[in-house]
Amino acid sequence: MRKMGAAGAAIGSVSIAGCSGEQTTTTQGDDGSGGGGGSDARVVEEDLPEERMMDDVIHLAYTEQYNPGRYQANQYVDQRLTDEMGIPTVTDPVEATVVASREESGEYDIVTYRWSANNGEPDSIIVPRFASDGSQNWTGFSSEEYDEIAYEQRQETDREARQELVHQAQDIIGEQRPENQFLFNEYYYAFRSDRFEEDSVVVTDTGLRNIWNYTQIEPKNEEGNTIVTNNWDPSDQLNPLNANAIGPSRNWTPTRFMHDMLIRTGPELEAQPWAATEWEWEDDTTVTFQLREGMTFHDGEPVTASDVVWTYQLMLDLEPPAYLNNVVQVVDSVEQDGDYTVTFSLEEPYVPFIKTTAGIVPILPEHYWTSLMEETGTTEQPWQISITDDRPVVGSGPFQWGTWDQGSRFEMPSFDDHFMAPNIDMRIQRPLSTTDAEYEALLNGDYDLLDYWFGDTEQLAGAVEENDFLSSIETLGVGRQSAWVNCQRPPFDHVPMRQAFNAVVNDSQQTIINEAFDGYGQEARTFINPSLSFWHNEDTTFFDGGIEGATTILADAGYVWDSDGNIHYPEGMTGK
Amino acid sequence: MVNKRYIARRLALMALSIFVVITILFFLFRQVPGGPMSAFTNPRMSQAARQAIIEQYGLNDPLWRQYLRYIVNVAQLDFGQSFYYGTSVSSLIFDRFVNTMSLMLTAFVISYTIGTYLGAQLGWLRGTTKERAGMVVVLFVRSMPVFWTGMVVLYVFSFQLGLFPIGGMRGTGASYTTMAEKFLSTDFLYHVALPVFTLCTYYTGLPLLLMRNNLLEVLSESYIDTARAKGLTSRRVLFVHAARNAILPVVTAFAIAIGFAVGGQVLIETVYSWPGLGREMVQASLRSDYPVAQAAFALLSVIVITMNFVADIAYTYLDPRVSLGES
Repeated sequence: MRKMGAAGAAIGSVSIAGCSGEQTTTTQGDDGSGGGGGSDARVVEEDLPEERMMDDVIHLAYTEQYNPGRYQANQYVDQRLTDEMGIPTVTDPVEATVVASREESGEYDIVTYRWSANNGEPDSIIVPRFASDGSQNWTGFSSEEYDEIAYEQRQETDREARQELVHQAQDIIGEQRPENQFLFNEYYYAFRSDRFEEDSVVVTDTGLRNIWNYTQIEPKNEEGNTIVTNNWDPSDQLNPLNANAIGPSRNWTPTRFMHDMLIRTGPELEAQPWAATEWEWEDDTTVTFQLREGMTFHDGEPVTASDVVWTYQLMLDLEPPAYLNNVVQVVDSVEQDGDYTVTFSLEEPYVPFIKTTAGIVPILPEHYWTSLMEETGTTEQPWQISITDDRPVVGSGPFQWGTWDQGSRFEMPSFDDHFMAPNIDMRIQRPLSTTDAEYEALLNGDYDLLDYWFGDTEQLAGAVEENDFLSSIETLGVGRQSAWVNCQRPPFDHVPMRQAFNAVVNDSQQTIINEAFDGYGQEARTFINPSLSFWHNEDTTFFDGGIEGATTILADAGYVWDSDGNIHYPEGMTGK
Repeated sequence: MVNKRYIARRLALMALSIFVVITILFFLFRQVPGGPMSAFTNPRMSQAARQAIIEQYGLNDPLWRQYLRYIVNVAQLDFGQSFYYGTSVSSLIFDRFVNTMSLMLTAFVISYTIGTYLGAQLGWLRGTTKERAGMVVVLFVRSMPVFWTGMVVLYVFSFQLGLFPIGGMRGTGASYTTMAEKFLSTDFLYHVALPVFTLCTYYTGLPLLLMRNNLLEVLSESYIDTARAKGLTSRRVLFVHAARNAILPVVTAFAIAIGFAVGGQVLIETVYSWPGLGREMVQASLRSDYPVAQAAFALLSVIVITMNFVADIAYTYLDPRVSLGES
């Protein structure tokens, strides 16, 4: 029986290797050692006690429907672990909300999804994800050495010194391997080049859906003046104080476009002047922003320092959940000096402040919001005010509120008095419910560009090749597809097991990129994407050697296999 | 024909059923794994922030207290605020309900009119080649999955021929100020045509088959022979004497179909990007947006229950032999 299994596994790997034309190291399964594949490094023992046998490793995953590429990648890795390593791994696909809740409660061994550095700020991964008390440290990884470095980097104002710390943090995670990257994602975006000047299109980490693109894109004709795109309505984050979920399922693009922030993260992921023309650190915990003069809100009222102070003070006083992390816990006080100068005092040194606070918090018009709060009687929790056509938002951003036909479309006319007034007249989000419909809409001209594309990239690329009126733009985003492991329970509470897993994943990367992601991706060894070139540590420790390397790591740590090829824990360890 | 006590008893039973349904819905949705927090909060958010949101939604209270609060609110027709949209559930559901009904009612009225008429004709023509051919066509069309028909129709008329829009309920440039303007415009008709056509191919089958079979039974009754013996035209015999009696089950089917129409046709709404209630119900369930999901399903059951009642009452008028509550 086992022989059959081994032969099957070998055929499976060969056929995958055949498709990619590159992967040739995955066929060790049929070298005859043991019964079920594996490498020469295996230590095979007879009569191993039952309790040392490894239980099923649960790989918590998104469903195939949610993301076919990711699902295939998971299946491939799990199959290799099972067939070639003797580690019984089971893919457990569940709905998106279930993935999140099970991950938080630690009901998994491996979990995979895509994650990125918020606003290009490495701190958004370093502390929350891997520090012992990090708010999103669901792997349960814990290291005193790491914690020290993680907190030091966010206080280090010297850029070079901070870079060194960020590199060290990557190295520790690389050695300890709570996270194992599948790939750095590359993205493909398509637009109607018959309607826009091609070199005016700007792509950033959020794709074409970024303010730089929507303000700079240059229409060639009448049709290009109104951009219709597929971004999903329901625009559920329209109350700027309720931006609770800036995650993948939510859409706060309209809010970002209708408001100004002090700064914005630019296309190169660096802080760029926006409502503030310049800023300066007075000392470790004091930073002063110089506001741009002559700005107005959409209702014509001027934007002044008092609006900025009012916005931040409101957050400090009322503590909207969405701004607990980046305002309430960070800012001690905020003061104005004249009409155009705002000074923040921070609780403690916090270098990421510029991008993750000043770059995210929308400046709200005091006069409008105070009357809105009074009118609705919602003075304690203004984030609960529902924003509709009858009660729209007023901001000062490059786009303003048009109409919202819930579920059908959201229109934003451009705001001509803005210092970065768009070249187009209007942006319309008009969702269609299938990727086929989105694809046809781009071809027939209903859409001008696709803000995102969840369909088959090769299909879209094919259309661009065939049609002169379409062009494309590719970018290495800030995202990575990774597998996190549960460091709190067997088998991944044991570091060699994580390192061996890393060796298998690294060996699978080329196949994953080529087969599951149509070639759109790069090999990845660390959690900071190379597009954040200053912070990316290209020498991060990782484990190679494929199945052979993984087996050696495990054999050295005392793991053994039975004659059927099943892995067993080292003596003195059990999976309980 | 219908006595008042019967109606009162039925109404009381309906109220009880609705209460039971709402209760089951409340607890059912809370059994779904995942829960609203994972769907509504930013995974980057801290524990404190999550806690604050949980409190905001009242999700930290014991379940029984949440339930009591919900029942009291629903009794006052207050369905709360959507976790996801942050807007009032009533207005959200109402908008979607109108969208769905504009599609489904149009389709049902057309289907049942055509279906009843053709069914009567086929029954009348029983045993002829025409009837056999007709039955083959009807069964063939009825067996096509409606989402598949939708995709084919969309592919041919929209993707390939470009005659109809790709989806949605209105054009990019269209604007409306009133509801009437919205649903009576040519822009709306242009968008509704393909989905209605698709739905009709499917829904016409049921009334047609029902009508035909009933008619066959009625035609064997002796009063039909009498009518013929009187020398009435075939048309008159068919439509005035036979069809009127054969139509009863079709009426019930229509009433119940209207009830279920509220749930829309999720697949058709998806194929045609129709912003209807059916799709919203599925989405709300997946997102654990309890207030929206509960209200949508409650609305569905209220209408199904009511339409059943209406069908029963309608019977007594259509068929004087039927009387309710007199025993």
